[in-house]
Amino acid sequence: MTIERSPKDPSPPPNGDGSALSAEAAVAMHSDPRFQLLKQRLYRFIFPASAAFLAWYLLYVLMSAFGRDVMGTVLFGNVNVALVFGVLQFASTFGIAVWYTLYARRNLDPAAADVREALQQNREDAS
Amino acid sequence: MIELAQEATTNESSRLVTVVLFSLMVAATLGITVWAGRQTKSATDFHSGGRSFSPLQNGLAIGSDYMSAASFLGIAGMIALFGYDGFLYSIGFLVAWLVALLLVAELLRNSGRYTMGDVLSFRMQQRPVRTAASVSTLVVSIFYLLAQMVGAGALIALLLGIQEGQTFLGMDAATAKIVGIVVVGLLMTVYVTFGGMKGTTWVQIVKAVILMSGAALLTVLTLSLYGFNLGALMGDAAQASGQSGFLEPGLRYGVEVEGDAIQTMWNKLDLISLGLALVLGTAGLPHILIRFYTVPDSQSARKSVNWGIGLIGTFYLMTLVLGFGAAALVGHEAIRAQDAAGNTAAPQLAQTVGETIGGEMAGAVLLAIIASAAFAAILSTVAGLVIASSSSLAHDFYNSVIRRGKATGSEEVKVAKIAALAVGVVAIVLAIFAQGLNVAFLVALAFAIAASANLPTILLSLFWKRFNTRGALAGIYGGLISAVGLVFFSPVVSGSETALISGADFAWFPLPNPALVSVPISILCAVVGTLTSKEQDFEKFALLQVRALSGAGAEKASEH
Repeated sequence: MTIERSPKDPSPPPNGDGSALSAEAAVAMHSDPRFQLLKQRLYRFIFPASAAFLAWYLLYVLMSAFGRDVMGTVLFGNVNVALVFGVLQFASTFGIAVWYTLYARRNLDPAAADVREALQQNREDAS
Repeated sequence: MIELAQEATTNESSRLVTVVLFSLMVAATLGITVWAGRQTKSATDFHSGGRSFSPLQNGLAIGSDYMSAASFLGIAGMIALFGYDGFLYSIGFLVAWLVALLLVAELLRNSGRYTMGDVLSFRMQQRPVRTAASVSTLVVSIFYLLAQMVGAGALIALLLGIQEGQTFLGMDAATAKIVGIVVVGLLMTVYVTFGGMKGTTWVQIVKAVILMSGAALLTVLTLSLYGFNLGALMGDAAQASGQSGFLEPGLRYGVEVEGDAIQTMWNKLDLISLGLALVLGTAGLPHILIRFYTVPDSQSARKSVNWGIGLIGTFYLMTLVLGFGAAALVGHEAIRAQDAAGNTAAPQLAQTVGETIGGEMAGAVLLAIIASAAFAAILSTVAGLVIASSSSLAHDFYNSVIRRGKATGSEEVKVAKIAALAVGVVAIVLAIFAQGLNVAFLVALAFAIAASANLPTILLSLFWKRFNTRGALAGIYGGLISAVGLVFFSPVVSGSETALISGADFAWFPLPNPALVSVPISILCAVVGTLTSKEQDFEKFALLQVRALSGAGAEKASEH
């Protein structure tokens, strides 16, 4: 496979305070186990969780379109399956947001801090 | 005769209170704008409010950006007239925030600077990709803006209670609509031009508080009439609506047409297409994305989305009560008589509830409060759209494309202000010309374009190593052109009773909502474009990913 660089750009992408992250440091860090751990932890949560809530939402929309009999089933009083299903969409949205926040605080933020620290360390060693 | 006279006095006193509240709000927000303008010095101040807002502040501003008049009055009205389907709409709007939370907000905050184009062009050739990002930002924002402003003109006339044939301060209904459009247009332009992102954000924070309190007050009062028994309220609403299946899906979307199985199938596919646009569109709306740049770091971006989800979720649950309340207490006929789309259901409910609880004056005051909350909702959303457009024009198009990245911060701010002025003028003129047209579909179209052109390319940029310039361009333009093109050839534009162009029929695409087809087209274009180009830059991909995931090298809050 041929690998080609994009031609030198007249305006490089913005890079924060400039000193913070060089391309060489980023390439080295990209295969560093500390970054791999962060990436793995992030992907392990966000992709399955996104697939799950999108499937759950799609099921709701499909049921609203094609499962009218089920959706119209009265559970008690004026409460039917459609209403409960809708309220559950609210509940799952709040729930996933809270779950992700706890997960990120415990697993992602420390791993990201490790990566930033390692980059800082490498820079100091180099100078 | 006596009744008529009484009604006139109610209208008069309510109008007076409404005008006083409108004026107070405008004065307060202009004061904020002047104050913020004095503090806005650098480009980061102008585009991103110095990145120094707290998560709660940004969460309120996110809510304000998102809870437009279309979602406040529109969804309440839809629930009031069509029952369950209005609720279905709000669910798509809410669940969409999980896409923003899990896949976009933090990574975007870490890797970009001022605009959506920053992230899309990070790994790519700057000029073509930034041009595409800017085009897409402008199209989405102008469509959304146009829908809001045309709605605003009509709403202000309605909120002030000016009926056809009546006059108020010497204005008839048609003049009041134009005045409404011009006032909203001028205010949003002033907020952005003079206050920048800092001013706009503070205006949005104030408005979120007004909107939430107004809606909460009305919700509690409505529920109190039913002894806080939501079930009883819903039963009454279903009965008063006079329609069977009011508490089930199907009265507005995915309508089953008797004896026409094909049309029924199209209607149901259209519901799914709409659902897809709602859930995937939010995280691709430029005015929402740039909000993540206004906080100091990615954790704050995460927290602000959480605040946003909490506020927006609560708000839509309250809208459910308001919509059913209006159906039960105001009634189908009375709502339709005021506005066929049901946009005045919430204000009408306010008047009815106020009158039931505290007599006529209370009705007038409550109506004025809700009218002001709706006015606030309009203003804060349009201001957010103007700043997104002007930032993209100045940062992506002027600086990166025309000046090849050599413009200074103060030049960029100057151009952004001129751009805001230009967008404001264009929006006012377009809205005045479009006001006779049925443009409500433009909000759904803006979501469909965001879902097709923006979100797939943002995600592929962040996660797909092989992705490149040709892929990004194909994805953005493919999504944009297919979404707009399909709507152009749909029953929305021609060939139906409610079409934009009446008396013509060139519709061959059966779905009013294009996302079901245009999202796959965009992804296909992005993949094919990528694979047919040899360009591949692992270095920049590593740079983007390390920066996006860890926050190393991310833009810092500016010092003050």
